[in-house]
Order: sequence, then C-alpha cells, then structure tokens
Amino acid sequence: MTELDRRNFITGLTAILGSASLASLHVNAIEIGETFKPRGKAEFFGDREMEMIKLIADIIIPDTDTPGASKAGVHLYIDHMAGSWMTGEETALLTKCLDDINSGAQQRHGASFTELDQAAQVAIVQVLDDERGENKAYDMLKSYIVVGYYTSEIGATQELLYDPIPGPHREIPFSEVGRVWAT
Amino acid sequence: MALPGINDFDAVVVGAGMSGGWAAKELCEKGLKVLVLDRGAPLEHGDYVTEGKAPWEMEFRGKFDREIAKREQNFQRTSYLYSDYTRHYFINDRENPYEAVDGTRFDWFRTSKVGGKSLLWGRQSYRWGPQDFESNKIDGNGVDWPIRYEDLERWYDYVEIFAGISGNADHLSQLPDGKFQPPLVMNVVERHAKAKVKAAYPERDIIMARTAHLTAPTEEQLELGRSQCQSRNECARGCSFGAYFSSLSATLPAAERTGNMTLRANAMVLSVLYDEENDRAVGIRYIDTETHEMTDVTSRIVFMCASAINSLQILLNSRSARFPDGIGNSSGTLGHYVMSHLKGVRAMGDISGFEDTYHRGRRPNGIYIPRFQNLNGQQENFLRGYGFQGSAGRGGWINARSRGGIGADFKMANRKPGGWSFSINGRGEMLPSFDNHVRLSKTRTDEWGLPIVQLSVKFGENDNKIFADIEKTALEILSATGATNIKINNKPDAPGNDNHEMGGAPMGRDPKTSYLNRWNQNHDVANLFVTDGAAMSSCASQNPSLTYMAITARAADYAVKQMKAGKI
Repeated sequence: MTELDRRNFITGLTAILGSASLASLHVNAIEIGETFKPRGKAEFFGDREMEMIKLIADIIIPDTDTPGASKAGVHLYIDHMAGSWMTGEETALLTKCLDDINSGAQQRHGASFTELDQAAQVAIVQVLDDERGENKAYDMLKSYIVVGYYTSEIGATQELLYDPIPGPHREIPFSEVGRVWAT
Repeated sequence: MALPGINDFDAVVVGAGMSGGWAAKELCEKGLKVLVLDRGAPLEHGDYVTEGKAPWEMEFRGKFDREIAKREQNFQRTSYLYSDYTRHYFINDRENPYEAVDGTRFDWFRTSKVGGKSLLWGRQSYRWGPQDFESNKIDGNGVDWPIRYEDLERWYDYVEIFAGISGNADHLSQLPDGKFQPPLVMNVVERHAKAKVKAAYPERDIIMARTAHLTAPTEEQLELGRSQCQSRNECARGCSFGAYFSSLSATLPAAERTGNMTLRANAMVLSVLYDEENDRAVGIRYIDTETHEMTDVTSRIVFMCASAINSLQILLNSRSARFPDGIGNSSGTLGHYVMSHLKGVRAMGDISGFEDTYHRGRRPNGIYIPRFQNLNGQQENFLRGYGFQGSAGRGGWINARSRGGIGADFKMANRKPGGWSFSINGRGEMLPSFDNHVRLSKTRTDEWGLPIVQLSVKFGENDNKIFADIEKTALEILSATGATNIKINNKPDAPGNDNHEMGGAPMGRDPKTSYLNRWNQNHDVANLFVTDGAAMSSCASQNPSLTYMAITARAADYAVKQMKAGKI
C-alpha cells in the first residue's frame, strides 16, 4: 500500500466505525506494507529469457485501457518465483518452454523469438495457446503470467477491483461493479 | 512447594484458547486470582502481522515456501488455512512430534501462539440438540452423558450473548435456536438450492450458517474493542476489528480488565501436581519453552483447557503412586473414547443462470444442512447421523489460468465472473469407542521432557456406513438443485482432519466408567476440572466450539460455588 492508500484506508475505517470506536480498536497496528520488490536485477533468468517472458506476458495480457503484464512487473515476479520458490523440475520446465519457443522460431523464421516482428511473435503464442492442456510447459508459463498479473497491484486495483475492507456483505447486480473482485 | 493453605493462585487455567479463555474470564470475573498458561508464543490482539496485506505485498503472493513447510510443518501445511499469511500461527511439527500407531493415521492441527485454535477456527457455532446428549444412552455406545440439553441451555444463551453469534432462528428441534445477532445472508443460488431441496426432500433444510461474527455488536462487545464484521474473509490472519470471536479479541480482554488474571506465554504444562495425603491437585508444573526453566505453581483448583489431546497428554503424564496411569484415572477411561468428525466426502456441481447476480464483500461463511437422519427413532441402516456445510459462489480470475485465448479479448473475458457452482461437504458423527485412544510413548519425549502422544484412532463400521450415506445424499441434494457436471469425492479424510478432536476424559454418571462428573469435575480429584474437547462423551455432528464454551462457563460457575462453600 502506498502512503496515500494508507491514509484512505484509515479514513475509510473512520467512516465505517466513527473515530471514537476507531481509537478503541487496534487497527492502527495493521501493518501497511509496500509492494514486495524483488532484487533489482534478474535472479534466475538471463537477459534474453527475461525479454522473452516480458514479450509473451504482454502478448497474453497486453496494455489496453489498463496497463498490461510487463508494466505490472509480471516478468520480475516470474523470475523471482523461479529463483526463490520453484523446484528445479519446475524451472527446468519453464526454461524448456522458452527454449522450445526459440528453436521453433529459428526453424520457421531463421531468427530467435525476440528478433521477430510482433505479428510473428503473436502467431507463435497463439499456436501454443491452441495446444493448451497438452503443452504442460506453456500451461505453466501462462498460469504464472495470469497469477502474477492479477495478484499485482496494477492487475488487482486497475484491471480488476480490490477492496481490502468491503464492509457488510451484500448481494448486488453485477452491473453495479462491472468487473470481478481481485480477492 | 508452597505451605498447605497458602497458594500462589486461586486457580490455574491450562490453555488460553477457546475453552481456556472462557475459564479465565469466568473465574476472574467471579473474583479469583487466576494464572493462565499457554504453551504458545506471546501474541497481542491486533498484532497480526499479515492482516490487511494485499497479495502484492507478500513475497510469493501468499504462497508458502514448500521446502521450508515440508521441513518444519510437514503436517500442518495440509491445513486448508495454511498459507504464507497464516503459517506463523501453526506449530512446528519437527520440534513437536507425535505418532499415529497401530496402523492408524491421525491428522493433528496445532497452533503456536497464545489464543490457540480460537484464532484459527472456522467460527461455525451450533448448539448441540437434545438427541446429541441422549444417543450414547439410547444406542449404548460410549458413556451416557450425565447432562442433557436442558442442563446446558442457559449456558448456551450466556456464551452466545457474550461471544456474538450471527444466525437465523430456524425453529429446528435438532438444532436449537440461540441468542442470535442478525444472520449473514444467503446468495441467490443458495436460496434457489434451499427451495429446490425443500420441495424434493421436506426434511432437508438448507439454513444460513450460524457463525461467531458480529453483525450488530452489543455495548459490551464495543467496550471490549470489538466491532462489526467487514467481510474481508481473511479471518485466519487475525482480525483487529475483533469481529469474530477469539480468546484474544473477547474472553482474555474481559479477564484482563478484572485485574485478576496473570497470563504467561511460552509456558508448557508438564503435569498436574497431586497431594496424595489430602487427595487434591495442588497445582501444576510448567516449563518455559524458551529458557527450559521449570516452575511449580500452587493453586486451589486446576482447569484443563489445553485442547483435547494436549490436556490428555498432561493428565496421563501426571503420575503418582495412587494414580500410576494418570491423575484421577481410577476408572481407566483417561485417554479413551477419542473421536473426530467424519469429514471429506463432498460434492459440487455447476448451477446455470443467475449470471447478473454478484456480491460486495467477501462473506465469511456459507450454508448449513443440519442432520435430518434418525431424528424420530432409528430409521437408517446406521446410528446417529450427519449434516453438511456448503456454499454457492462464482469463479473469478483464477479460472483464467486454464482459459483459452490471448490478448485484449482474453484480458476482457477475465473481467467477468465465471458461472455459479454449489458445493456441500458432509460432517458426520463418529461413534465413541473405548478402543480409540491416546497414550504416551514409553520411549520418546519431546524437547521439554514430555512423553510424546501416540494416537490410535480408527473409523468403525458405523462410521463407514455414514460416509457411504453422505455420498448418496450429497448426490441427491446436488441433483435436486438442478446442478450439472456433478463431481463427488468419496474419500474420507483421516481422523483428526476435521480439526475437532474430542473425548478421552469422558463425562459420565459412574466413577467406574467415566473420568468426569456432570460438572466436568474429576471423579477422584475434586479440584481438577477438564472443560475442553476432551470432556465430550460423544461428538454430535455439529461443530463443537460453542459447546466447549457453554460447558466451560457452567463448570467455572460450579467450581466457584463449591470453593465458596468450602467443598473444594
């Protein structure tokens, strides 16, 4: 949470509870954190692989009226998960996915994925997506892109809706909000 | 040891969770000087480090590090509540081993902080009904309860008003109504399912879950710093609003404000001290889990509220010449009749339509289908019965992981919620059986010198019949709602996985066949009380915490009256 969000958060609480009852609560102790920032440079993938992940993530979740995957730091999230969370088997699968894409690009176009024009890159990802369910490596990459995006601050608060303290639950027509909740 | 007649405290309460918090509150409010010991690390209400954190503020977006979890919390990590947001509340399995023996498996969830499982509970709060206190006598399994529903009724009233239970008055005799705050509300698909199921099976009621969430806080609750539920549904991280009942949010602050409570964290009780000459418990011995310093504390009464299996472990370890098999155990029942709920068999299906209906706020509960079998005499091919917990909901962005498509269209499609699904999970009553027991290892002790627990608990024939019937009924109910793509899981979870371990210090009328009397007082040692799950003579099919609360408040009231009358 940013400092502005933090202030809104506390103001929102005051509106809900009244300042007197806020004082009697312990909510000020709620720790307001910042976006977890992975180390500045890539910890697992090399530059070319990072570039590929960035491109593929943006092909799957592009900039529209809201920022897309790379602006939400999805490639950094995947790199951090690969470096600090995934098993060797999982990172091998992810690496193989990128290698396969590259060798496919070489065979078909005589160039690596990152060197192709955007239309060719999209075409390659489209083919992979059509094979989803049968291509474990791609399924895994797509899953990480999706999770990385919708659990990011941009994905949750700009693309979807995020409400840390919704107040009493109620049923509403979907049109009242128009988008799914991020959490 | 202190001189006779001079005690360090009037009462020692072992455990500061669901039951211990109540014992502390009641005994302190009645003027006793009370020492409350909890083996967990200190935790102050409000000091919930992951509360309110967004996924992007967590290093792995809420996913726990699997290697560390496997090494340190290999069993706890299987809890549905275990994540990076909550793992600090679970115990370290490597440092706190136990054994399932005799070819059995037992899933034992434990917590690592003051407040115990009251911090991590599912908050479902149901009274047990008249049938639940009669069944042992009627079918001859287990020990006949020395109390009936009527004995507990006003204590249910009492604890509900203080704790704050949201619920609807459903007028069902097997699930008595309580002193409720307004219920949370069913969603459109749950209302649809309720109507369809009632039409097809008039005896099967779908009701709103009754849960310990404040929907209209009382003056007393506001004074204690508690406030209305904000529908975050992140309860297991801790709730600074005090919107759900926990010992940290409610009973311990109430005890604290009397000025009569001393609370010690990291205090692991090893045994109850016994004075053979006067036939009394004289206090407890505990060890500081950090410093390993051992301390004896004397008191006039002892309340065991350490959670069922831990209480049994301590009592079995309290050995003397008169009680070589555990204090107060002349009946030989201590450690026996251990139970858990029959859980794991469940069904879910898709419900079409209702696409325009959505929600604001993450409702922290669901629906309940109370037991409807064998309520008017024996009708089924099994004894007793089962209910269901469940809910209907819509999928969110998580569906996008396997959704086809790329680009702007894909991104746009993910903004819409998925279709509705409805799921129900059976919760059955396990029969009490003498064979199902807890004992202490003769060869292994933990880091603090306490012999480790060995569990030998198996499902019996009746339990398996109930599992089979849950499967059949779940399919019927889902079909009645018009659900499609119905998926059934018919594999039961292991004993204990329900998180509702009970029994082992059964209440009963006869000192030869039970451990506690009708006031949760040991038959042999009159100033020793056990009021947590261990005291349950049967386990009913409903969630048990509310009954622990009521029975603890009742026992504390009795104990103080007995002390004042000079009887204990």
